[in-house]
Amino acid sequence: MSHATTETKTTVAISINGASHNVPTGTTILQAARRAGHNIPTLCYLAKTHSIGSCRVCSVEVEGVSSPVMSCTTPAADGMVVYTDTPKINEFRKNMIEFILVNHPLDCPVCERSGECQLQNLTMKFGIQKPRWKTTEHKKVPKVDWGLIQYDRNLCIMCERCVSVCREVQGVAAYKIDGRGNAARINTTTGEKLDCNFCGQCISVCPVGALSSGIYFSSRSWEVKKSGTVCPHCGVGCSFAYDVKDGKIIRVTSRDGIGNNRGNLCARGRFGFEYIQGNKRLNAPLIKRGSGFVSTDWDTALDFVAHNLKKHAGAKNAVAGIGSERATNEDNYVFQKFFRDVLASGNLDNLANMAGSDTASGIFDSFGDFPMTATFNELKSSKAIVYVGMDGSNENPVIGNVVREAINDHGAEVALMFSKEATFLPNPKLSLVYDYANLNATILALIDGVAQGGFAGGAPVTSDVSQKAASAAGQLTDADLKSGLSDLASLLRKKGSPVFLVGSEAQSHPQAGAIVRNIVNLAKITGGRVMLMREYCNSQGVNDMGVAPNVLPGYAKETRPALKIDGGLVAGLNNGSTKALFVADEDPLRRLPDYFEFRSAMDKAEFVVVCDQFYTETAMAADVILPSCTSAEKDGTFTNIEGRIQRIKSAVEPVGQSRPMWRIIADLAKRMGSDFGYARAKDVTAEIASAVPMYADVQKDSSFAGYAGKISRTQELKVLEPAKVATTGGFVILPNRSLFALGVYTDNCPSLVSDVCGHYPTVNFGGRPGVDMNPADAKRLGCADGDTAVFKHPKREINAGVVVNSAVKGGTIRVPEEMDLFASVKLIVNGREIECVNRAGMGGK
Amino acid sequence: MKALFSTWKDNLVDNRGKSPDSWADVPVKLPNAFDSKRKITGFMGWGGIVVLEEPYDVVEMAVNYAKALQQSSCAKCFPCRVGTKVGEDILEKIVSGKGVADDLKQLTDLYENIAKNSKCGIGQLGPEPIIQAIQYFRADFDDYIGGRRKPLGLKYLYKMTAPCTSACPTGMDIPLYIEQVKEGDYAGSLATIRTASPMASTLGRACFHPCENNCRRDNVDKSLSICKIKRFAWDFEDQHVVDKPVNPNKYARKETVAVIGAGPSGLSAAYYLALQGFPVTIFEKLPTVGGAAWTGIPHYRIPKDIMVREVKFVEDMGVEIKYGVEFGKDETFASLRKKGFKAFFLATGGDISKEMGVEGEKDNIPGVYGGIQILKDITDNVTKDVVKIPSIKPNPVPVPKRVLVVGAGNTAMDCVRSYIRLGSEDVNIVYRRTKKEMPADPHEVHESEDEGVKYNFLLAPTKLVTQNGKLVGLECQKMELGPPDESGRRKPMAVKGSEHVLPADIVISAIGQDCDTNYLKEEPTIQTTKWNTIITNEETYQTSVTDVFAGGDVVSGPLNLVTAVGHARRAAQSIGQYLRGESVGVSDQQIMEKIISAVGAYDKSEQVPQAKGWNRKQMPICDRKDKIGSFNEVELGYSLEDVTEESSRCMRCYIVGMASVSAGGGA
Repeated sequence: MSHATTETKTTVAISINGASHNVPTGTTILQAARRAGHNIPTLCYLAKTHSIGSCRVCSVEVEGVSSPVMSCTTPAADGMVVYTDTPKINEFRKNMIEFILVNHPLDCPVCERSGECQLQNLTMKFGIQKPRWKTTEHKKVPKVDWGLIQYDRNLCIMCERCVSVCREVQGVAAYKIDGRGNAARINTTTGEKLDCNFCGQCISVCPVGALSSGIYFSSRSWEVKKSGTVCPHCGVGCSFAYDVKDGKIIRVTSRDGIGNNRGNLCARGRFGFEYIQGNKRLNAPLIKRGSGFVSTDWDTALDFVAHNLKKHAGAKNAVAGIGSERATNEDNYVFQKFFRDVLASGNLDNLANMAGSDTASGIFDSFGDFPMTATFNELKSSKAIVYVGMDGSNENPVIGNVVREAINDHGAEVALMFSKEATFLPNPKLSLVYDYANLNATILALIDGVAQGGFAGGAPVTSDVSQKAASAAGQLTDADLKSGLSDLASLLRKKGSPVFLVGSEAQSHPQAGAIVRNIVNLAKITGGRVMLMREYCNSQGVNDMGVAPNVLPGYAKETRPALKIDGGLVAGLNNGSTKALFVADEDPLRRLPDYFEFRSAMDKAEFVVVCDQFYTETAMAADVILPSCTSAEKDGTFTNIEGRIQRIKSAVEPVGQSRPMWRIIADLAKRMGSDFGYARAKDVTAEIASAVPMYADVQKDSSFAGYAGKISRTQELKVLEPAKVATTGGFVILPNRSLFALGVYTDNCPSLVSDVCGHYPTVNFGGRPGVDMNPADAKRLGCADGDTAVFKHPKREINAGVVVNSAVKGGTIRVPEEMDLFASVKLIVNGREIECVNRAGMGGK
Repeated sequence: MKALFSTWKDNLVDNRGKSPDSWADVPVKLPNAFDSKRKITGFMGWGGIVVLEEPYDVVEMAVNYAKALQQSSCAKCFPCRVGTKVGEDILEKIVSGKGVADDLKQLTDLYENIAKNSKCGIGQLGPEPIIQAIQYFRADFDDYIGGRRKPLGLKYLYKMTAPCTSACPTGMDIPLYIEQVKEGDYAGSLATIRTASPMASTLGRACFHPCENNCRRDNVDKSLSICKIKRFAWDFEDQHVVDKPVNPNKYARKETVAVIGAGPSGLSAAYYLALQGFPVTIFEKLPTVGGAAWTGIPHYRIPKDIMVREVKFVEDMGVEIKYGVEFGKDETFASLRKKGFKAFFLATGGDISKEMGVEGEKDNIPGVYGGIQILKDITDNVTKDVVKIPSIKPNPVPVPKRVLVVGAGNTAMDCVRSYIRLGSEDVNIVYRRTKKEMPADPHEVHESEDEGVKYNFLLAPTKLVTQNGKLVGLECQKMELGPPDESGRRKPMAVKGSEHVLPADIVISAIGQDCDTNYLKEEPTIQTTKWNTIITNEETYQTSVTDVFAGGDVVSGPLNLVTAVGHARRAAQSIGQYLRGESVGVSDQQIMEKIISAVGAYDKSEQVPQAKGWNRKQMPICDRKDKIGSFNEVELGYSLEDVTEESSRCMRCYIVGMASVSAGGGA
């Protein structure tokens, strides 16, 4: 591509308040002035969206221009002479604030934003005592209740920040300006009740108190203590702060630009904190007596556990342990150390590994020394981004925000691959719908498409790979998918160096290991990268810490024969070689694809101890329950999906008698004769730093990047052929994943459940969940929207409602997440039984 | 024109108290009649106040204008949204007799602040006439404040527009679609474009964009690339996974309409009719859509595969296109009426190349072509494999060494640039005037020169020269430019005895097109001009036969795409009115549109208080190898980041014009 005429200059010279500055072409006057240290007041300006220009407060004087010039919307030009702080310009700015105050009541004493309100600050700055102008009486209107988000039009100054952030950053576009003139207001795009991801970004950017949280902020802003930490809700690891008043967490906030999330949060992060100090927390150790549990003290409980574990210590496989994707690296490190050093057992695993077949080890095998990940910076600079097995940004909104930065910054193109029609805004270049059972073949067919045209800069394609890929491509019959794959191959070739974002569908697939390996192959061939979306905050860390069979911390191989495991954890329980089970901060009964399979295995153990914050299904089946505390009540580190090791910090005292898991385990070790010598979490961190090379820098406070970006990659391809996935010919049951439901934490956030799930009948377990099916299938089954569908499995029966949805692929039925987890499932629609198979039934674990 | 009072464009003309004979002229063109029943007595708008005659009440005018500003305010900046409400309230108070002396100072202060700080033209330019009213009609305000005056109760009509919108024959809301692109709402932007035209790709690629010649940003640095931003909006939908819009009124009505010709005008009319719920069938004589936009605009400017996809949208709205049907032969008014069609829209365009009037032209000499015919043949050959329409049967196109094209309009440009692409070595323009008078788009001229086209100015063809029945050249006469003719261009005059022969393998006449309206024999009452164009009502596009309407080139004579689309928009409105049994006519808003256009929404000499130096984003173009010897599209379209920046240059120059009208009217 050649540009028509003159090359544009890369810098311009601008004079600001008498001093000359060279700034890059395209820099706004505001940016140039701020960089030069001149403070220009702003109100509507947001660095992360286009300059809105509604408030007119950032005006400056430009020589030769008779009117004030808005510094946020005007780029610096060569020879421009700017003054940012003259009496004249300050008078204009003051006039603008006075216009805003025409409609904005000075009700500051009763406004929850008081003290952190930008309008309040500007009013003070310009010394405005009372409104200068007024309009005919402005009638007060009631607050609009959108559940977690509330809109008070009386306070709204129409700065448009919410509209911009929702479209440009969040890709939701839920808001618009409705009406003209003074009567205009912010409304939803549809005019109906707000129906969005409830990320609450609009609240965080609202400069006044017009948009507020549905969780009442029972404080004045100056009374709270902010405690910066990392979100526990998924593997992105957003930085945020718990706002604490009198020992209670009352709000979550994030400062713009902070953390790898750059201040962005999703609904779970922003509103999902009520579980921490909710009334369902376990606050004392419990020991089983008869059919129930009795509370006890720590000494009794720990002695009891130590006594029972001692019985089996030393025998190979005798004690099995499940580590935690939601506990810290410190917790997990101590857990595996306790097993290997004290119990002499290597029988460890974690649910990221177990739920997703061999995903984790499959990935680690393919990458060499370090797990191959992409950093958010790499994602942001990528030119092509492919979502695989993921419902666009609905599954992970904060990643979506990074992708949108890549789009807005340099026109990156997005392609979606999912088992139903996925969505993304701005609209993606391609959207491919594959057959779930054929996902691996689909990836191989894409490798075939890419390999056929050749790919500069990537790993060489061996004939073995190209043959397998071609044979897989030959198996595909869906013409739309085939032409889509060919378009996608061309897109990847045109753009180069793609990032593949691998979602939970790919990772929990019966062939997850092969699928992820093949995506890695694809990335190697195209010179791209892979980022595995992790559902939990420390799915990466639990593996890094070696809470897995035959893998030691830092992926060192287990060499001690006595600690080597073959057959896996469930097999050990089933064949009787495993006598005791220790589940640390996990709920396998709820999370594994087949409830009954694990339940029966677990019941074979003589002794089960569960550590958790809640009375989970798994906890109920234990002999002892030890109350551990949440990440808000302890120190430590989480490792996110980039491989970034991030510090978490205690914000409040542990609830009841709950304790950090690492301490619980260390206390047990002590009772069994091994003193690990930890006084604080930091001591564990220090040990990790010295014991695990990839965590060597973990103690450095300033540059806490972990191993993000430090990736050694082999060029070698390991292609696994697609094994035939068994389907019975019936409907394939797949989950409708919800942002708002992630097991026990979100269950215990009443505001999230009641306020948001009201908008999402598909995840509303309390009411009637939705069973989504394709219109053609619905027609074939003779059912219509709203018909009753009974979802039957041995444990319970759920009355669901049919939702006819053209986004669903024919031959699949989508049910709320967790409803897909039972292997023997029957769906009865209009009295007729429909044959179904879920992923467990398809041969996956 | 004469007026009692005017501040238009900062020229104060105050004829109050003077005898009408001695009134000074005012620099504004305002019609006297609003319509047949009402007359215009005054006007208030972005350029000031005009009072045509007694009775008038500038205070009442000001309060109505203040209301118009507030109702037009988009609410996207504080001073305009809030300030114009404050102003309206104060003026209301004054008119209701409750004003106090300080109010006038407050008002001036207020409106000055709004004007200085607002985001767009409504706030920037709207306040001035109110400030002027207070300045020059102070006594009238004082009379209201003193309780000595009551409102006259005149009627006021206003319209919000923008200079670019006003210049656009389709009346497209240009600032809005540009803002939507800036905000990343590409689907919304395209929806805005489509309220005015279904041809977003064609117009976004090949419109002559009068909007850009009426862009206020040009007064600051350089006009916006309005046309190509439109293209981006369409291309985005085309190249991404976007839910296509649906027509909620599809087939809501039973009256069917026959549209003759699937060119820009016919397609557009069909689209607007479909949106009103009418089932529409287009009858097209060619196997292809697009009319002149297909045959006359080469593939490198409008790729035809893209046009096929563009037209799919019109079909989806509820329009059927029947190809290979020649009106007047295969179907007639009678046959279609018999089939139940209740109205006709004639959009048959002008596709006969004008003759040069040279010796030998009637002799059917091989190698002599009409511009529009050869372009069609070239397009058919180039695109037959791209668009896969089996019924296209391309005529062979000769590709000789030396090509002469007579004419200097856009068709001539298309011919020479096409022959460069076909591979001819020596491609020439023959034009009887000079480069300065060339009617072609200067950008096209520049591109053609870059591609190697040679220009022969001040030469008029006189004779086709043959040897053994074979064309060998074109005899031309030298010309000199005389005084300007009626078109304003200097008239070329022949230099006696200057005849000489330019060698040529083929000669193409590209000096304009005529219309073929033979099908009108059946309806002899429909009148045509001496250029064989159809005469219709200028506002409604209805012909003398009530169920027959016409628009596009067949009415205007070969002109341009966007004018044809503009006709179609109005005609479809008229057809809708006719079919619903309403009176066929234009709305007050449309009359206001015309008045504003007469007044001039854009003032090239206006000093716009905006910082300079924000350059227009360059349109990326293809490599040279894709120009010569290839029909690949030349302009590649803006990237997302470039289009965002280019859109950000828009100053949203919305303006509000308001007329005071009283009963009376007349001529």
